[in-house]
This record gives sequence, C-alpha cells and structure tokens, in this order.
Amino acid sequence: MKNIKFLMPIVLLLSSSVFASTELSLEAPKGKTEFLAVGNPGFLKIHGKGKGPQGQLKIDNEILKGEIEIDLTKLDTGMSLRNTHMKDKYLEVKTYPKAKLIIDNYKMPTGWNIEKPSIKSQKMPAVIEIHGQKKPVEVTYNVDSKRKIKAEFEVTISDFGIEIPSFMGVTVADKVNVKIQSELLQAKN
Amino acid sequence: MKIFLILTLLFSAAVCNAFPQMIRHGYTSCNTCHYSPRGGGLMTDYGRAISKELLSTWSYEGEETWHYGFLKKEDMPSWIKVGGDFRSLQLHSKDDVATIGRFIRMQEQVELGFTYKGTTLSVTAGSDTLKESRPWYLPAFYVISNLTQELSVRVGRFVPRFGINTPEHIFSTRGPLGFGIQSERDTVEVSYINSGWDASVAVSAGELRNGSEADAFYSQLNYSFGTKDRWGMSFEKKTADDRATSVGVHGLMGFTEKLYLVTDTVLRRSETSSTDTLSGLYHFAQLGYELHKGLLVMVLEDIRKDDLSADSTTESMYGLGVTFYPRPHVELQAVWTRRLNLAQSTNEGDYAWFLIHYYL
Repeated sequence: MKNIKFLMPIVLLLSSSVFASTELSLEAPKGKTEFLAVGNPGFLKIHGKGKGPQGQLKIDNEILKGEIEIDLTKLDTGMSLRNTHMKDKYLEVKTYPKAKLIIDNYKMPTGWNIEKPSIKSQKMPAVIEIHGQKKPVEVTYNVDSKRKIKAEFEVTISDFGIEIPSFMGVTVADKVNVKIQSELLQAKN
Repeated sequence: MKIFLILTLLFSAAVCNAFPQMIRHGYTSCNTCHYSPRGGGLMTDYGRAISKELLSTWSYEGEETWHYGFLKKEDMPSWIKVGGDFRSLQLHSKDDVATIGRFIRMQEQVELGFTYKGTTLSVTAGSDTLKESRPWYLPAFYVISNLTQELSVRVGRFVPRFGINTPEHIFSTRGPLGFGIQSERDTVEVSYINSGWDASVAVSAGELRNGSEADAFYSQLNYSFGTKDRWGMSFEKKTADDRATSVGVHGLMGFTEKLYLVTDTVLRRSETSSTDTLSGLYHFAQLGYELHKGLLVMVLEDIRKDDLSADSTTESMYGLGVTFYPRPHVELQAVWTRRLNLAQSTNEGDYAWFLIHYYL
C-alpha cells in the first residue's frame, strides 16, 4: 500500500503528459496564406495572398489529426483581371471554394506539448485537396515559442485537374509554392 | 539655334519608355511586358493588360489595345503587334546664364512587330528629331528569337542592355554615357533570364547615327533576392576611337506595392590619349510612391562628374516630380529640380519640365 501511494504521483504525471489529448484550432484572422508562382516569359513572380488557414487539430498520444481549410475565394495576386481568371477559369472557386490540408496520424516530435511548442524545420506528410482532387504533399513546418506556425509546401497544378494557367501570353509554371502562417490556439472545451 | 540643338539633344527620346518602377508589383524582368529584354518599345499583350490593370487610373475594356478595343480580337491576327511613342515637353530653365522656356517635340515613332513561334521581328520608324526638317528613318530594327524559355538571341540595330533603362534619358547614366538619343547601334545580344537571375552579353559595331564608332562589348548580370527587387552590374568596353571602360551597379527595389527605389551608378574610365586616362562618375536615384493608382510622386537626384579630379566638371540635379497615368496610352509628368553645372556657374538654377507621352 505504501508503495502504491508512492507510485500514484508518477502515474498521474505520466498520464497528463504522455497520454494527454490536446485540441488545437487555427483561425483565419490569426494568419495568412501566400503562394508564389512563376510566369513566363520573363520569369514573372506572381505573389498571391489570402486569408489564414482555419480548422481543428487534435493530438492524441502524440498523434496529430485534423483538417485545415484555406479560403480560395479571397486570394489576391495584385491584379484584378488575373484574380478573376485564376478563380473563375482555373480554380473554379464557385464549385471548389476551399482548399483542404488533411493531416492523418502524424507523430509529433517526441516530448512536444502545447506549453513548450517550439519545433524547428520538421517535415510532415499530409494530403492537400484542391479543385476537388486530393494529392499527397510534404509540408515543412516550424512552430515558435509563441505557438506561431509557419508551413510551406509545393503543389503541382496539373495534378489537380487544373489546366496550366495562361493569361495574355504569360504561362504559369506547373509548380507553385504555398506558404501558410497561423497560430496554434488551444480549443475551448 | 545652338540652344535649340542642345535642348533637343537633351530631351529627344530614343526608344526609352520602360517603367522600372513596376518592380513594386514584382516585375523584375522587362520582357514580361516588352519584347525587348532591355524594356521599352513594343509591348506584349500582357504588358498592355498591365498598363490598364496596374498602371492607369481609369480605363474601359479594350482601351489598352493599340486600336482602343474597336477591333474584335478575332479580327486582328495575333502575330501582328503595333506600338509607338509620341512625346512632347514644355521646358523651363532659369539660371545665371539664361532663362529658357520652350516646347519640344521629342519623339515621334511607330513600331511594328511580327511574332511567330517565339521569334519576333520589330521595326521602328521615327522622325529624326535632331534635324529641323525631321525626316523619318528607321532608328531601330531587330529579330529576337527565344531559343529556350531562358535563352534568347537578338540581332539588329538597337541599344544594348546597360544599367537601368529609365525613360528619363537626360539622366547621367543614360545620355552622357551614350545610351540616350539616337544611340541605336548594330548589335548582337544574347540574354539568359532565369527565375532568380539574368545575364546578357552583347557586341556592337558600325556607327551611331551621329557618325561615331560603336565598336564595344557589353555585359550585364542581375540578381533578385526576393520577389520585388533586382540588383545588378553592367560592364561596357568601348574599343572604338573613344576608348572607355564603364562599370556600373544598379538596383530596383519595391519596398511595398507603393514605395520603390531605382538607382544606377556608373564609373567610367576613358582613354583620352595613349597614356592619359580620365575617370568619371555618373549616378541617378529615384525614390517614388504611388499615392493613388496611376498617380506617383517622386524625389530624384542625378550627379555627373566627368573628371573625378576636377570639381568644375560636376553637374548635379535634385528635385521633386509627379507622374500621372490617367488612362492607358497616356503619361503626364511634371518635374521641378534644382540644377548645378559648375562649368557654367557656382549657383544653382531651376530646371523643370512638363511631359506629355502618348504610347500607342
């Protein structure tokens, strides 16, 4: 009995850290989405900006799951006619208004918890859904001590059944780099 | 008459109408909007779209085309391109030496282009603004072929890439260095343009329109650290009678979508005789801000010192300006500067102009 009493605090401590369940959320106003595409001729750098990602994530026993959404209707490349072409002709945002990043069974770095959130340059497999089609992507991400997250991945436009964008003789390269920034918020129960 | 010629030389424009301030929108390379890798001249369809979408305050659908949208797209063969530049300027200059007010027709040029599978033939016809009779001739013509997405070769009579091709060719790094009025020369130029950097080499031969020899070698290297900047170096080795070597550094920086900096500095060493050399410095900088779409204000400085060892060769200019692009095809510019020419006076004078530029 004396031994059991002695072990109880250890068991409690373990259960709160190793077997903890953490629910996290990302809110659009707390972040931003950017993409960089290259157009030719001239290797024009098309820099698009949009709202931050939004979604719910859950970490159970160090395993991360969840979905975050990016609002494609708010993307802005700094040129209205180009925006119209991008959204209406290529992304078809009326039918597919959001892109989804789906994370399933990603093992968080050992020892990670929301109180000590810093993670430097880790890679995470995920699935991105754009234009109604899902493809695997490798996301490179960082989290700082203030729970600010920066993630980056590359998509190949033609993989998603999207015609290679061309506007007034400028054709966009197939590979597009996507960056998202947000803040990990602890979901309210 | 002498003053007229000097003013005409100062203000007669060559094919210089690039807009380097578009760096603030991420346009690090000229040939997204122009067929020439140096910028200026014939515009691509995308360049025309930009002139409506980003450059001008007001516009209607199709106004950016050379036919103002009167022709339907299917009525016009896509392989024919039309352009042109007409510039006039009212000049005001007041210093110890003279007070001058004059209207100058600087540039009257039309340009025709024919494109086929990555190759473009461009021919420019314009009036010789240095002659009172203003006869028309062909100042520039070239064939540019894009061998790959990155590599192009241009052959013809044109101005090779050197420094920044600003429209204000009176600036030290343009006209005084031989890249201003009627500076087209027989040239072969190879350009390689990649996503982060670009480079070009060129050789020229023959004569400029004024009869001076044009034998020279040129190279330029540019690098972009981000999406709205470009920094580079230019090199020129003139092997003609007026032997000289010029090395320049230049930069385009879009701090935001409204604030930009354009700067160019060149050091030239000229061989004045078989044993003597002369070193000169040429610099300009322009810091601008877009107050409203199509309306920009700027501060500018320009410094020229033909002989670094002699202060009397110093000319400088600094001032303020406003540029307004009310509609596609139209550029209005008002600039007021204080100008110092130590060869003439130790006192500064006023130097101002109002420019009307119509581009077809």
